[in-house]
Amino acid sequence: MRALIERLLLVVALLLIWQFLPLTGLADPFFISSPAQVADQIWQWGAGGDLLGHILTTSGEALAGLLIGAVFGAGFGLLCGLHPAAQKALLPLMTVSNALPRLAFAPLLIAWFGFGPSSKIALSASVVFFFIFFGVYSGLRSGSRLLVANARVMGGRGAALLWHVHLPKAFLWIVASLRLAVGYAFAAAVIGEYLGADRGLGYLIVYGKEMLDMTQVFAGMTVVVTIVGVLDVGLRRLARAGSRWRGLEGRL
Amino acid sequence: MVSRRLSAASPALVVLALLLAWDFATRFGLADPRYLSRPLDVAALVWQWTRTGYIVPRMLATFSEVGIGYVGGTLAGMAVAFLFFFVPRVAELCDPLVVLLNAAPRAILAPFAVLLFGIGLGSKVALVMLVVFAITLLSLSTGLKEVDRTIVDNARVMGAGRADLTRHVYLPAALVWVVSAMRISIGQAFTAAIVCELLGSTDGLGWIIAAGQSAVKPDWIMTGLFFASVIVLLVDIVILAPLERRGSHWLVF
Repeated sequence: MRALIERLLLVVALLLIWQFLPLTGLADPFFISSPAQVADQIWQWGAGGDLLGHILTTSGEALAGLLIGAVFGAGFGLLCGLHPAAQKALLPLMTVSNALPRLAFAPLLIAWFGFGPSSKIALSASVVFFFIFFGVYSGLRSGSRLLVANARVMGGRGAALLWHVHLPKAFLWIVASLRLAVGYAFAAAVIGEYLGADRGLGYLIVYGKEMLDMTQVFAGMTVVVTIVGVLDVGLRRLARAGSRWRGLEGRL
Repeated sequence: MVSRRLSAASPALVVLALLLAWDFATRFGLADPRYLSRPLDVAALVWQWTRTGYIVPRMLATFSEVGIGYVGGTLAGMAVAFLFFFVPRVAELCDPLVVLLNAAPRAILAPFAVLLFGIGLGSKVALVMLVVFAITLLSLSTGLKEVDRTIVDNARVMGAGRADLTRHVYLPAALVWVVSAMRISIGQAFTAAIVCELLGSTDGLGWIIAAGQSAVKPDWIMTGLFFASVIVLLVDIVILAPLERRGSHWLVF
């Protein structure tokens, strides 16, 4: 409780310094805006009803990218984890592609898919893909091979083996990597919007930047960071609950 | 024998197949070369920029942004991690800020950096520094907590003070974590620099990509991305991977 109060006090103190720093002449409100102005800006966006639309646009892009990236990532992960030939052919490529500065590919995707949501979905999916791919792949590789061997001895093969042994094993890893991927999916959508869009939170921020309106940049950024932060904390709680359940699974 | 060779060459075959598919798609009207360019056009531009040396100053620009930010971010991250470790009250107080810093890829702060520090070197250095700082701080904070208590206690028994402990126990132990953090952060550092360049710059690889985007020259975008990818991979394979391999021998504590 005391820690909570102290943290709150720290945040309040930082906000006060931010608000009153221009009075000391150390900073220019043109550059640092002020918390009151930022709050006012967010309030205005919210009251006008614009904010919800922008949030829905960006979230929709992130979610679609998450879904597509997860499906493809899981598919390729299963393929590489279960099929040695596919692993030999694809794994080196995946490792190299994973190291590339993928968010920098946004202009290319915008050139291919246009200014609409599809280019952001593609960017977001391309980021999520690798998280899930490596999650599933290492999930299938990890742990004892005993379970698989036992299932085989008992006559499990083909679809049954996949459904009862491999998929449950992979599923836990998908959940774990999804938590990491959510923040990145969201950020990819926002960065895609920076580089060419006509709506969404990234568009709001970059519009503020072009207008040299720091208040708008701060306000947009506050909304983005709040959403990502809440998602992150929520998913971490979920993962912790999930790991208890995984503890049971591990005993099988 | 043949099948073994085939499986060794299969990654190259996959790449070749993708390149051929790309080429055929643009040739037979499945994709518009105005937006997709062609493999040979991109290869020609790569060769031309390499031959004329046009790419060298652009690469150096991005390199110096990443270099300065990287060193600064690593040092700052180390300093704060040690501060958090030795003064737990500060760590506890700053916890919400650290969570915030850790919640999302820091590259989304690029417009901020450009507005605050201008379109020159400053904004990219600041953003790269922030990215590297966050990764170093997190990795090292975990690392310092895992230093073996027995070694610390033994050193204490032998009369080591806080300064001796830092110098002879914690710093060597931290080094391994710093190196592994450096390896994780290199990709993100380049990404941050390039994204920042995309949003406002006068030079660098991101500037080439941005120029290609505004002039609808996909071969510029692709060539810029090609060089960016080559740099990142080279730094990882040539410098950081061997460093980390060697570093793992230092993991004595």
